Amino acid sequence: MKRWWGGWWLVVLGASACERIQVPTEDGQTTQQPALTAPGGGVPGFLRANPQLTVAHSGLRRLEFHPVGGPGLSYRERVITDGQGRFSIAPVDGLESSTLDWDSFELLQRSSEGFLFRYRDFAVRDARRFQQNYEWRRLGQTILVAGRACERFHVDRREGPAKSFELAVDVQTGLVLASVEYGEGGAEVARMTYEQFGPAPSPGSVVWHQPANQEQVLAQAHGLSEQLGETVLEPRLLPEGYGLSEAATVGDGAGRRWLKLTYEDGVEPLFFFQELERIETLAALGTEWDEPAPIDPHPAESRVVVHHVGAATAIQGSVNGFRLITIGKVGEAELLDLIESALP
Amino acid sequence: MKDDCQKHRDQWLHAPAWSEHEVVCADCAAWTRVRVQHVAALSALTRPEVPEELALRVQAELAGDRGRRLERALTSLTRPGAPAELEERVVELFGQRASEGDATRGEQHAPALGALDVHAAPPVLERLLNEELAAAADYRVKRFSSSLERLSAPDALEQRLQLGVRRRALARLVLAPLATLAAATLVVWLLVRRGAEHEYPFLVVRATAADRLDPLVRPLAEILGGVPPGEAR
Repeated sequence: MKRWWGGWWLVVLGASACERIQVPTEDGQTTQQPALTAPGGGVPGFLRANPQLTVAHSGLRRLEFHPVGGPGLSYRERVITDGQGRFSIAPVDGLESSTLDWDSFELLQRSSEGFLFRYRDFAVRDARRFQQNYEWRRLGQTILVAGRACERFHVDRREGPAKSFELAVDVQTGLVLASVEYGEGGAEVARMTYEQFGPAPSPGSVVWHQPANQEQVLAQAHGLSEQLGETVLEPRLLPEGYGLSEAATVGDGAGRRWLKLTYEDGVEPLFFFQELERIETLAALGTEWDEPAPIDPHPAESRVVVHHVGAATAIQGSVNGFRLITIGKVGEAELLDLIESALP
Repeated sequence: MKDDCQKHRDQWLHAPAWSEHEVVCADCAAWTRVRVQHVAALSALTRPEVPEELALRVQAELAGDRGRRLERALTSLTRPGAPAELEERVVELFGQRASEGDATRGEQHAPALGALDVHAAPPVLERLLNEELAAAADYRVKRFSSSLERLSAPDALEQRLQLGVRRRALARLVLAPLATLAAATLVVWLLVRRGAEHEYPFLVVRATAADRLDPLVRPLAEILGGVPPGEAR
């Protein structure tokens, strides 16, 4: 396990020095505000209901990914959120060690804003499951990240493949302002650091994210076949520690509608997609060149294809006439069991 | 860049269409593929909407209304979280072990749970359970080896290690080849057994260069996997 954060963390302060901290205001001045949780005691801020969704702020973040056996990725992005559901994430520049096709990358990032904001970064998405699946401890240090006093934490997954995180959590807001994810053997998988942090700008100056996938959250996560009026598969054997978080339908921009089941273990999401009835023909859309690749050239055959994409595993195919895709940061066997358990 | 290449690209940008030039020019073929991806991604984007209040605010600012600044300051304030005492209490409850209160609640819940419909276990669960019951140790080694408890060496082993050098050398000469042979046999057996046990009711194949992830999840896979765009086929 890598323990050397020395060059990365900007300044390490004494833990007792953070009873009150400086909070930047919109005009660049600073004000004194009491800390919500004193370092070294109480419930850490990241255990509260995902501060990323409730704390209005803007920031410049540095992101680095180190997939096993593949090229790395490092870049900066600007994030803005009003703390009430609206947000914006825009890539700013690639870093020197990264060989990016920036145009393609920027398009991908902009078309995936929703995924990035909701699922990419470390966050406790369900406090109960987090307590069941992870254990955490204070490292007894308070440091400065982007000028904010942060307390350091270490988080380990209790069971399953080795996974751990080191966090720097803003003492006042509970936001995770820096995180490092470690995988098997203590290898670094990903790293995120806020380089700048400030209040959210005025709403009039922000172009907020506009959902493009026609996502409709279903009222109930069970009894989906009755709700949707067609046969829907619902996995009954999940990877250890995972539970259902949300059921929704989404469009893929090519005339297809999918059921999207989101599971999580408190931190990591896992998705199960099932294609529903085709709502429009591709010909009617007039999109000859952007027609999505067929998932399976032999739809009558029950066959799935396993893709390993960095730290994630994706499996797609047709089984018993159902078109399925499942994706998550878990092993291949777990995802195959999940698919099998969904069959009627 | 050759004139033909420039002409092809100009024509494509004016009116996207396949041309024979892509057959003879790999660079232009690659260029066209990237443009097609860009067009597809751009087409998937929705047109951002100007915030509703923008026009009103611009008018107000131009008219000298400074009251909006107070509103801006208020909306930028940090949203307060729940009191720390409440969060501590929640964590205590999560970490609490079984108590009398839990037992009482369990008794109250039992009739309610009994009244629920009983759902049949999925076939895969039954299969996995049968596998585990048939060979619990093998199953655990195969699927959950990382979570097995590491056992310490018995004292008898240490005592044996203290025997004479000659005896140990002799043991090594005999045991080492045997251990290697046993390990190789075990590996072969596990591989054969693995192939036999993982019989899903569908064909499982590994992705090849010809397999492409569906566009719906390709960006998601690349984001979760932490790889650059285009890495996930």
